[in-house]
Amino acid sequence: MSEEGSSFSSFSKETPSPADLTLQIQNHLGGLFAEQLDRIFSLAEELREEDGSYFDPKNAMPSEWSQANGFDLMPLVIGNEEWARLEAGLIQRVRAWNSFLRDIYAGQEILKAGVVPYEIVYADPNFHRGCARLPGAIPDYLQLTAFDLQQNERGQWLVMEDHMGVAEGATYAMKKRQIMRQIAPRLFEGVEVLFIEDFAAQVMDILQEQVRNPDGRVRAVLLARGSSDEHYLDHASLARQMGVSIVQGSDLVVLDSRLYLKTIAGMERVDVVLRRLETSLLDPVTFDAGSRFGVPGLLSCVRRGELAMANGLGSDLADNRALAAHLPAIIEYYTGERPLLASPHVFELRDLDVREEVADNRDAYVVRHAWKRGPAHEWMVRHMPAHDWNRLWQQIDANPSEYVAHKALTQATVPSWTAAGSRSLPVTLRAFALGQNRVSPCAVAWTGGISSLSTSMVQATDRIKDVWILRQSSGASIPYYAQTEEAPTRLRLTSRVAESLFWMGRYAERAEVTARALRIVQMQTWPPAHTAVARKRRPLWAALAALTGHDSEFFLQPEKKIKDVRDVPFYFLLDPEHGGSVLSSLQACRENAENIREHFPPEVWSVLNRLYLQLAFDADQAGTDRVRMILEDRSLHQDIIMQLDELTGALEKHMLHNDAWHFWQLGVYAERSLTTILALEQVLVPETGGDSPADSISSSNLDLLLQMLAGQYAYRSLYHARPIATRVARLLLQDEDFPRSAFFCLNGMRRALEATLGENPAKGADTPLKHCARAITDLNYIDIMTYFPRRSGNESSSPLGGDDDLSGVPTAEFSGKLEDLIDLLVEFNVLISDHYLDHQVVIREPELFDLPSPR
Amino acid sequence: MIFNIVHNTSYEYSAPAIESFTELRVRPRQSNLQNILHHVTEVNPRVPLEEFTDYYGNTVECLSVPFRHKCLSVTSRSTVETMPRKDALSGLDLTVSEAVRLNWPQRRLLFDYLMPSLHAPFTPELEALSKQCLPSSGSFADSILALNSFIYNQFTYMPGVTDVRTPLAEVLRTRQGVCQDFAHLMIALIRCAGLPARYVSGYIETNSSGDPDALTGATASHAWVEVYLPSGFWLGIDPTNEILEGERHVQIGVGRDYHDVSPLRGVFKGPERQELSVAVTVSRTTGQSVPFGA
Repeated sequence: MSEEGSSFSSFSKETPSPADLTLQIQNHLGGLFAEQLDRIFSLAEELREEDGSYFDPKNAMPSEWSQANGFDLMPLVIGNEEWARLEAGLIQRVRAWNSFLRDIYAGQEILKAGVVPYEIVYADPNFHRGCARLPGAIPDYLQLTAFDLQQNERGQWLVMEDHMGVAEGATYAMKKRQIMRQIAPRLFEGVEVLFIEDFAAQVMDILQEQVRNPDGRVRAVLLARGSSDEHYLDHASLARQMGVSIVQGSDLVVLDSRLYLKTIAGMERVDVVLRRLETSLLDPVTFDAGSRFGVPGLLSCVRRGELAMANGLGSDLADNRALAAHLPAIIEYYTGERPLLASPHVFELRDLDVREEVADNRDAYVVRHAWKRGPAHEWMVRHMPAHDWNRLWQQIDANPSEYVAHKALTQATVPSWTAAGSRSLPVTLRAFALGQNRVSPCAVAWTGGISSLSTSMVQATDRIKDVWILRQSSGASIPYYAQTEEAPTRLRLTSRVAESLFWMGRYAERAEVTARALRIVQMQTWPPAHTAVARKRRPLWAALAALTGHDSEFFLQPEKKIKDVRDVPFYFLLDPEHGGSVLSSLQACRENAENIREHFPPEVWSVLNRLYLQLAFDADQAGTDRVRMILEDRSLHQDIIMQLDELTGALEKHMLHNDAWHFWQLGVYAERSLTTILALEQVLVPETGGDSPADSISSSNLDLLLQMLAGQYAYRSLYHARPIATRVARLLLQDEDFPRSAFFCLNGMRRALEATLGENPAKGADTPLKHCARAITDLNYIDIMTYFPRRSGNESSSPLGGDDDLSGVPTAEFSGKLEDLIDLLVEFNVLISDHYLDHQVVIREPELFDLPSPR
Repeated sequence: MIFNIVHNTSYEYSAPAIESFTELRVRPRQSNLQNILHHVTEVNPRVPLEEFTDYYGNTVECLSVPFRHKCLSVTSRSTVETMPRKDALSGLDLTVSEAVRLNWPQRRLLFDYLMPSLHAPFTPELEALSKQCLPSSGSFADSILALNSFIYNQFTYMPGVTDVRTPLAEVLRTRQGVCQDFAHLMIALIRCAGLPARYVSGYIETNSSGDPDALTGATASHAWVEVYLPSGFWLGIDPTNEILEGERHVQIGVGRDYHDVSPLRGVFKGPERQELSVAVTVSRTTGQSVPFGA
């Protein structure tokens, strides 16, 4: 991809030292022309946007896109020997913590021996008494852990922080590496960097070790908070690469001390949970009763040995910074070894002498809360205004055991290279341990302090550095390859995800039909006008009103908002306060999408997000001439329709045509069949407010109706003549090939349901399918001709003049027939919801409970 | 004495609940002060009960109802024999500060009962009151008994004015509440003085029908306090009745405060409103002789 001039051939065959390599990269970048560098950076920018994962969807408005901090091209290079030292030290550390947790939640021998002050453990809210003596069969607490390290001025790595509860951020490293390889492949030439791409597979291996199922199947899920979590993208990306479902607490249910996932196909057993939530949130019955994210009864599954948690429940205790002060003693107690890696000395403020020392020399210290994490709970005292310090000191004085301090570190710096140029900055390195025996080479580093990864990683991803761990030329290190060869057992689509996709389909379709219909109707005479033409076109306006969820008389009794035809386009396209506007529909579509980003390809998100942001921007600028113009000349309408076509195209091309896809299709067809019938009803069975019902339907209205529903081409292909009512009705209701006909949509729903349910649907699960089949039969049995009485006499000449053929109006029964169809479709939506989304009907009790029917 | 105890708790939901998961702590604990002769827990809808022992040694039963249900009813039936208590206090001739010091070797095991907890926090008001009621140079036994009388005399037993969420500060201000509030108050005051105290959930025989010995507290379950004696025993004190725990008390479980031993704690999905009704009967069975240790 990058054909930049100067080459990297100066690298010798032997792997250079990290310092030499860093210098060579700097020289290489320094030798590039400004345009070459610009191209690299703009490519990086492009890849970030394409991926969509590199900006925060909540804050991203177009104007802010460009405010990125700049992509850092300089990798952090770590030599093989240095890495081996870190590896050994971190493995020692994770083993010590694992032994500690096993002990604390069982006999507490280390506390009895007085090696660690029991006050630290007992006073920490993350010491969960409910987790004590859980007789789970698996003795390990720590499966995926992380350590944050910083370099002191001599370049020595110190462990600053342990993440024993939840370890986040590994996928940022993979993302960074992926982009680096694309935009600057030359940097990698001749350098042997340890492979990081199988990180997720290795995590999966560790999880599988936790479960011993007779049938060898391991069903894992990743339990997280959802899109409100700042690390959601990391969670989603890891889950996707592991091939497991990312779920929220409400997706899971405990039955008889076993954990089940609610899916469109019923309840699926879960064996192991990779948690992305702290223990206190996981079970509202035992822990924090106010938690909305947990699963009631989760703990009972662990207690019975029916569920493995990674990391083990209660392991968050080991994140306590006051405990870390005693880690050397903990390591020695359990392993008899001396610690291999250094940490800054931790001062425990519960000690009065320590407190005085810190107060006297406060500028030298960083104060941190013992167990609360994040920038709000650590203070670089030197940078604090006096009154802030005084307030903090009061808090410390009231609860001294909740605070620790360590000397502020003078950090070594490493070079960084962004669009703004080359600088030297201190970095934090996060390394991940897998189980008790391995440290993954997939490490992430960033410029800035410890807690900056957790504040707003998404915006800070630019500050992430690619971490290169060099392979030793002698080949002494044996690379680890993930064992997982087959894809893990995949769980069915969760009901929550299915529901979101269903609604995405409905909202996208609603947006499209609204834009399309408006494009035609907007040009027609304003209905309240007292002219013959206005009266004649009223059914079209009524159709627009009906298919956007308004009363058919909507335009005849205009609200204050819509005084005349000029207000109409804004109201239907951009009005954020109108729930049925294209903007609102797309917002709803995007909100649904945001929660389940991992279930469709980035291309889809990118189109949807772009369109939404563009419309939000236009809505914001509604007063300007530009926006007024594009609303008036309908170029915005056209633009929306084209971009929605692009969305459909992206889905069609990039998405797996799996269950998720079928639920999107169900949503599209459910919405489309309804709008088609609603529009048809208004034009064929017009009630022209107050006036006597029309006794004929003009061919031009039918033509416009076809245009509104994208059916003009279809009609002309079939009939080569001006539209007449019976034919239009047949096309829109019964045609097998026209993609907007009610029949086509119902048939599409039937196919989607059959594909989801498989050959042998569970008992009762196919009720919606049966309902669908009945609706199709009903539809086919409608003999349209019988509802249109033959007109007597010669009435084909139009009272409005020459060239408009007229069809007769259908009988009242026809209207009743359409109403029946609408009822069937609405009922169908309820059935879909009851059976696949609302989790009620799908619970297969007999398999789980042998009980009399519930009261 | 032998008691038959029937403890029924029912939740009636305003609309059917979809799923519910519940933990019960309604099984009286076995100890050298009481002997459980018989126990059964019945739930409706009928679902299996899972049983385990919690951190504080209490027996917990849990149940999940994964289908629509309009009500959930739990009935615990126990037959318990209680033993007469020895006079544990009068032999203790020491001051409050001596008691604090004598407990020191046991501090790790007692730590949970020395620290403030969710329902028994330390506040400046409580600390001041504690100094007043339990002066460090005062006699330990006398101070504890005086504290029992103080709460009994200064606070009014008034069902309905407080609930689980009522903070101690408000109880202290209004000077009224129920057994649970008095227990939490006493626990906080004892802990402020540096002495271990724990919460006891249980039953009491009330004999409300004109009995001169009628005790207060039990149309539902009862709650009182245990204070740790330097002699190594937990002594039960019932500030609601100004007595020490006796043969007419039946313990279910112990913990730091109510939160650790709530008889029924659960989560359900569905309607927002629920109606809780609790009925407890504690009746003495007469003439039955059950051999000790049966």
